[in-house]
Amino acid sequence: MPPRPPFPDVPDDPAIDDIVERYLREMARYELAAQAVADRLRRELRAEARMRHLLSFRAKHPEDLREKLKRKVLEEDEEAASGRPRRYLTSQLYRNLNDVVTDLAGCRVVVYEADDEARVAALIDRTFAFPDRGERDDTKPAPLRQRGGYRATHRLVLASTEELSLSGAICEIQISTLSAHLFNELEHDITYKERLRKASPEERECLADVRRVTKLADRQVSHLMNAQRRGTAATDIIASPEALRFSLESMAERDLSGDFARLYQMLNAIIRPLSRHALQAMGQLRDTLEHGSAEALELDIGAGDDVIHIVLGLTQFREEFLAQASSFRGPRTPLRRALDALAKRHSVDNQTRVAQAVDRLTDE
Amino acid sequence: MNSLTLDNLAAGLETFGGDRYQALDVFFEDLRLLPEGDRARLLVDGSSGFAFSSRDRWYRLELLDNNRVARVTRKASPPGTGALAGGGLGALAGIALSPDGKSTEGAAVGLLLGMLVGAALEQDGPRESSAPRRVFALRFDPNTGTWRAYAGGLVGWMKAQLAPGNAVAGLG
Repeated sequence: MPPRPPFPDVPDDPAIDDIVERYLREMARYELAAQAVADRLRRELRAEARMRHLLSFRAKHPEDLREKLKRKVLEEDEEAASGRPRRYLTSQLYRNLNDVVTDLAGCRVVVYEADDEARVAALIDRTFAFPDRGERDDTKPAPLRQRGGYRATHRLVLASTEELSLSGAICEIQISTLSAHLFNELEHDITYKERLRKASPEERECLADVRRVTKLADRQVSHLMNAQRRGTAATDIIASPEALRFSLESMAERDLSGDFARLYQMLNAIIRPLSRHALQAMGQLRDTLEHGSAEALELDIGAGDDVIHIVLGLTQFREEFLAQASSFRGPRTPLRRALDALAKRHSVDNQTRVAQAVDRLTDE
Repeated sequence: MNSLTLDNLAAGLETFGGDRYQALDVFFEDLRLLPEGDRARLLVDGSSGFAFSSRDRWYRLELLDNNRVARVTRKASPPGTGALAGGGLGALAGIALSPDGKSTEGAAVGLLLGMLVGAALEQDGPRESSAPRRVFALRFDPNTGTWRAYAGGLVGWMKAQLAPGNAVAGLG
């Protein structure tokens, strides 16, 4: 729907008011989009069984949209002299508001440890579909470490590829540590207010202190979590999906991916006690992963999913895993699909063996 | 009230075929009389157990852990005496299995739980009862009369009930 004339191409206040008014009528869609992304993220993060995190989602408040549009117009006014093309044009905002303002639907993942920022980003990259942004290529930018101190990783994902009502809706996901989030929020408030009045020297000094303290907190939290994991490893017994993941990653000497919550549930029900000793007794993990990866390739499933490779590679427990899979409840995850494919092939193999046995008997 | 028959117990032990698992431990509390037919099938086997036949195989049934765990294992041959246990059940008064009331979740939802106990993971490793070994948690579905895999919240409790003192002689 074209803008009501005669709005100028660089949106003025009446144009911005009209755009916000139109957004209000569509806001429920972006609320649903953000929730859909958050629900999926929550499931995947829980299954990964690694990262302590806080997850929130929202549709952008109309007043925040209004503030952003005004701010961006002013920023682009200042940059106009350098020849940088404007993005916040009335025609573009009316044609597809979400294409220009990519955080109408937003999710935030706050992690405890700095290393988890990249891990969450990698999980998002494996899990979600990304919008085609053409030359802009801004769906997976490098982690932001701005001069002003802002620290976060951003992703732009499609809210859903299945739900028609959410088709094409973009959701911005922000990932940062708890400490960085604290600083980012304070810095944003002060920077925004700079446009109305300059921050005082005292505010600037305090903000600089907060920045230093939050960076120190990130380092210390990492040290603490590593010490905690070393302490857990020393007890040998594996009592949680997190402990299972840590033990397996220590054995593999690399990060592993997949549904560790389900893997823990499966292994805990077939090994007593489930311990690092027991994992070592099951054989070389490297061999298990190799074997499982080859089988996954044959079944055309589970590429890049280490948990699926482990399950397929532990052939001494195959019947047990298939029996467990038949009792699974809940969504049909990649692990479940892999076990279904294995069960189907197992059944075909059994039928073939039975048929061959019948043939032999007939020949006799 | 859920109950298990001797054939159900034997079928549980044979869930996976072969001899991968040597014992099935079923957790229960109340003792009730078995159906008439099942009582008549129990034979005395040694001083502390009973034997029964199911689908042409012989099994041994023992009560462990203060009569809170029923253990089923395979027997190579029928019991020596062949004496019916019916009249000699004495204080046991037959066996029917119902959820262990000590686990509140089990009592609330009427779960009948069992755990297959198998060989040690390390063929050449130590034979201590604490050495890692195969187990498999099961739940009996009274509607279908079959055993199904169980991976719910009581797995930890079930594994803890496999006390070292109850280790089955000859388990590899």
